[in-house]
Amino acid sequence: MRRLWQLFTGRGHAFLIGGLIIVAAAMVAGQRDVMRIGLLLAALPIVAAVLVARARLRLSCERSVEPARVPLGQPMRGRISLGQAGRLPAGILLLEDTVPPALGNRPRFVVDKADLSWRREIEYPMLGRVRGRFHTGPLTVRTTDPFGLVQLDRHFRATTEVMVTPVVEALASMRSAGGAGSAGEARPHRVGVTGQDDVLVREYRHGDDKRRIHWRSTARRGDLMVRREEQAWDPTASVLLDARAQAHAGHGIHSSLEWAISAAASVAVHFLDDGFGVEIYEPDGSMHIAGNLGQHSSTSSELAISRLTDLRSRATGSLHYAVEAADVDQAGQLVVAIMGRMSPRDANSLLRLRRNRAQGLAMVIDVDTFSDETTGERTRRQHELATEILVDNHWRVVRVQRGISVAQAWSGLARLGAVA
Amino acid sequence: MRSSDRLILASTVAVLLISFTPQPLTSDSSYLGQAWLLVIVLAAVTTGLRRARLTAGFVFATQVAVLTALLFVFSSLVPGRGEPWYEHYLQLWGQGIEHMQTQAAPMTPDAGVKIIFVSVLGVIFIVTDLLVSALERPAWGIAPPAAAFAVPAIGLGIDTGLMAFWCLALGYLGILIADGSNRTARWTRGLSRDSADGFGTATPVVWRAAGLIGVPALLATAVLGLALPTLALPGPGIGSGSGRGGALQLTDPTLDLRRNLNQAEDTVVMTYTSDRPGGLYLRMASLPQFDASGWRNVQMRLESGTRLPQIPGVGGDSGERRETTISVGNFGSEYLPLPYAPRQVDVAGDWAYDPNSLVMISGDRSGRDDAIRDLTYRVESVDIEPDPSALTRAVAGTPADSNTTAEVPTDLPEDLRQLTRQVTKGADTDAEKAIAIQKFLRSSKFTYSTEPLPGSGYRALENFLLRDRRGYCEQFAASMAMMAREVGIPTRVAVGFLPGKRVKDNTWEVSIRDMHAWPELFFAGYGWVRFEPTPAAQTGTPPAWTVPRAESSTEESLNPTEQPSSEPSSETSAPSAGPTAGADDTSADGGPRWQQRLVGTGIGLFVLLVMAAPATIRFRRRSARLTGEGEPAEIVEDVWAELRDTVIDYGGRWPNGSPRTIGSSLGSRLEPSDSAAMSQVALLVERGRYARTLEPDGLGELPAMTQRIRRGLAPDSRLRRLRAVIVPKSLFTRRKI
Repeated sequence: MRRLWQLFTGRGHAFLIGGLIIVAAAMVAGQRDVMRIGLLLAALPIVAAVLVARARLRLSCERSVEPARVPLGQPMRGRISLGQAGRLPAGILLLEDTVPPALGNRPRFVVDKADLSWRREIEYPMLGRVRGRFHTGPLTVRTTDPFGLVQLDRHFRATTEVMVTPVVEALASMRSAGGAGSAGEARPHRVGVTGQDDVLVREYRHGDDKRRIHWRSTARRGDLMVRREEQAWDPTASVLLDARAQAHAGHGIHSSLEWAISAAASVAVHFLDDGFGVEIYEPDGSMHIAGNLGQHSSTSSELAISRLTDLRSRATGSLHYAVEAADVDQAGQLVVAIMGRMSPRDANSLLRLRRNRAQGLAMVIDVDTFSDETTGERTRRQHELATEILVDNHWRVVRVQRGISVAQAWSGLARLGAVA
Repeated sequence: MRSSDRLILASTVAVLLISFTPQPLTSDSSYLGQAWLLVIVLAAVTTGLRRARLTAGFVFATQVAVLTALLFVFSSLVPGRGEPWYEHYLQLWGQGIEHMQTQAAPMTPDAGVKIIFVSVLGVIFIVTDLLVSALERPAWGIAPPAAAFAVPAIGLGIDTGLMAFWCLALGYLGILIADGSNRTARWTRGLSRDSADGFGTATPVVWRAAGLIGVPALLATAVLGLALPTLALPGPGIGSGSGRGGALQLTDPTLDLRRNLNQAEDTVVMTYTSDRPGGLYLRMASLPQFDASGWRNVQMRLESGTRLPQIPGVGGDSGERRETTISVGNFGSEYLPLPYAPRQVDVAGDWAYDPNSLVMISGDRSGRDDAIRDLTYRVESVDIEPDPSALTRAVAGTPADSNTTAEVPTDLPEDLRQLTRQVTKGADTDAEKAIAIQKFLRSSKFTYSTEPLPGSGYRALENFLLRDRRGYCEQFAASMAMMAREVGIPTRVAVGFLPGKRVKDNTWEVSIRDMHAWPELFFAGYGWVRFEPTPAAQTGTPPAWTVPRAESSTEESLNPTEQPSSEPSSETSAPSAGPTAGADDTSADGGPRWQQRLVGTGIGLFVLLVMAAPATIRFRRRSARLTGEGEPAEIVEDVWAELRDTVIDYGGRWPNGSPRTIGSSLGSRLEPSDSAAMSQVALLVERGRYARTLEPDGLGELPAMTQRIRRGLAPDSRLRRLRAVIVPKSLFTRRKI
């Protein structure tokens, strides 16, 4: 009963109630002419409800989105193919596809044919305006009548997943970065790929860590031998991504956070392509990209992009967890920090991170240029101070303003390296 | 087709269809032409203005201006009476209203009624368009056409039938379909490619669905409308159930007269016994209404019963009482032939009388024409026989229905007035003037003839009085009544029978050619007095009181019609009636007129109530909110809600965001002092919502502050302010949360 009542629109309710009241009043007053008006008002919604609600729909729907994965800011095309076999109900079919507001307006169309069977294909544009995973669909079929008295919404089940990834830019290789300090070539080769025999050893010196004693060589040589500097050969890069909400400004696709994530993705993919092991750290800790998959760069970059797609800004106030996680991993000799608005405390924790690293690269985003709102003088000064701290401690720092692409910022870092 | 065009077209069709429904009210359908022209011109103008995307207020103003202009043009087509054009229109309205008040449906043609119908239809179109297009409430588009539909439906008290209803229903469904088409057309959006042509305009589907739903609904309505019973409650019901409600269709008595006079054979139609010497004039009907179309019946207020009320204008039963037994033979009529003035009638069947004319009419709804056939009844009556010498000093009186019987048409031709002045030049008193008129008509200048010049209304009178001076009883009676009215005496024309032929002692025979018409004049103290302007050859000597004492030397004049006119010559002697123009059928309304007025007033009040309802609800809501009683947080929230509704009422949008944002964005539109009040309210709302407690101090000024802000928010446009009062938008928009 309740469902039946909800079938009517507001106008339908008014017609039904008003019509019945008029009929009753006219019957009492003996006004047959007036009674007809009431009867018509009451009959219209009832007839409409019978014809619209009782009708069964035999519609088939196929849906797809081309392409299903786009970088941020790129267009997509949704496609719906609708078929009908069997008689249409008396009502008007209004169709609407559910599209998340992040991707665009919900496309709507009406069934324009009263034939027995037909096929209809429509396409609608979408734009990846927000990074993340989305579902388009299900398609909603609204059955209504031309007088606007009843309305029945039904849904298909099928949905389509759409992924809007961060923008990955191709970066020029940087001679001075990868494997710097250990070999003259850009692409490091892995130690131990062909077995453990290649291990370079040297004689034990006082103060060497006992855990680094290479027992097999020691047995062969009779002297204590230790493994030599494998850290220098470990081609690992750590990317520290400052995704704290408070460190960023601006909205949507052109916010500083999106720039930072895009930069992190580009750097990570760049190093993965170069055969590095890459780990990304965000303010809440490691993103677990390295690990077992470390050797297969293509799956790793998929994983990195996927993880970065899902990344949301963090409420964490400090970089403590990120630095801790990176510290624990102890990996690599290269750290790339992509920083938003910093305080001297953030800079100091970064310094801790670099203690074991050969290289520290930092892209420091000038967040204020991404937003209309200006920050306080104090915050600005602190940010400047933090940047100075990094520079003073031999980090290569490039200041990024709005409008500079990731590739430009990267080549800026490369130039700094050449100068150094 | 644009969506605005579609709605205007639907409104136009609805109004054009509804223009057929008042047809049962009038016998003249010529209002349709002007009304259609008016509506179509208005629709064309509206379409143009809407296409130019002008504001609703401007469109409405232009519509009203075009309507006014066209109505003045139409009114100027009616021959003027020398007034300035703007008064002419109002005069026509007055004339039409008077016509409607005095006439029963279907009314005879009248220029005033026509202009009223045309005006009303124009107004209905504008109101419909206002509701459907300007206020975007197409569902309300039924109201103005339904008002036009209700006038005959409720006012006539009879079932107006399915056609009128279908006119209303189809028009309204058209408006709804137009609205549905617009909604469907607006639905499609955001497609980059579509396999259907033109992105799938759904017009065929809409029409198919409208047919599939509308036709069964209409059929069900038609069937149920006939099948469902209606209660007819006794008492002050307004129905057409049992009881005496509803209109009785009366035939024009002069038609009877003419038809019966043209009978080839002069048969005896009734006999009566009376002790009055000279027999009795038996009166059937009375025609009190005089205008350009001649003498006509009016709408009568009938009362049932056989004991008649006081004789109009006569104090007490002063005259001699007579008792008459009348047997009607093979003669049919719905009027009961009675001697004047009847006091009590002993008759079988359902009879009703008109207290003004003391005419009795059959109350049966069927077989009315045969109501008196083969009927025998007894009448007690009083003779009205003024003393001749006293009458000459009498002055004209004022009967209860003087608005009809003393009304001289303003368009009476000047030559007739002049003739009247000339005839009554020497007479001093009203009665002497009447006597002078009768003398003039009975003079040898006039010849009795059944072949007068053709013509109707004034023209017939002019032909008779000024040109060929030939006519029969109808012309004589009409002329005398007209001239007497012109000199200020209330008059009416009576139709009935001459006394007939005496066959035995006290027994009289009346034949079909004794049908006659005579004038009755109203004098103060004497009531309605019969005069006899038709020449003596037909009617014998005139009544004694109508002849000045000097002339009336013979006492036989008391027996004026001892020898009925039909005797001397069988062919042309019978007084006969000339054609009365125009009036084919007139009817008398059985229901008292006040009941109709009550119904009319009731409908008017109901419409007013419906129109006033939104404003009232809104006003009550506001006063409930601004009482300043209750929890502090509730007071503040109420004030906030009131401000939101005010903004929406004035056609604005309530901004999104926190109270503070809303306060500042609204405040930017206000004067600085009001703006400060606004931000204070916003702050209070914020505190009420989020603070642990809200101090109640300072809340006392809130209502006053709210009123100030409300005044500040009011738009400059008076129309929008008025709209906010009459149709507050906030009542109709669902609250967005």
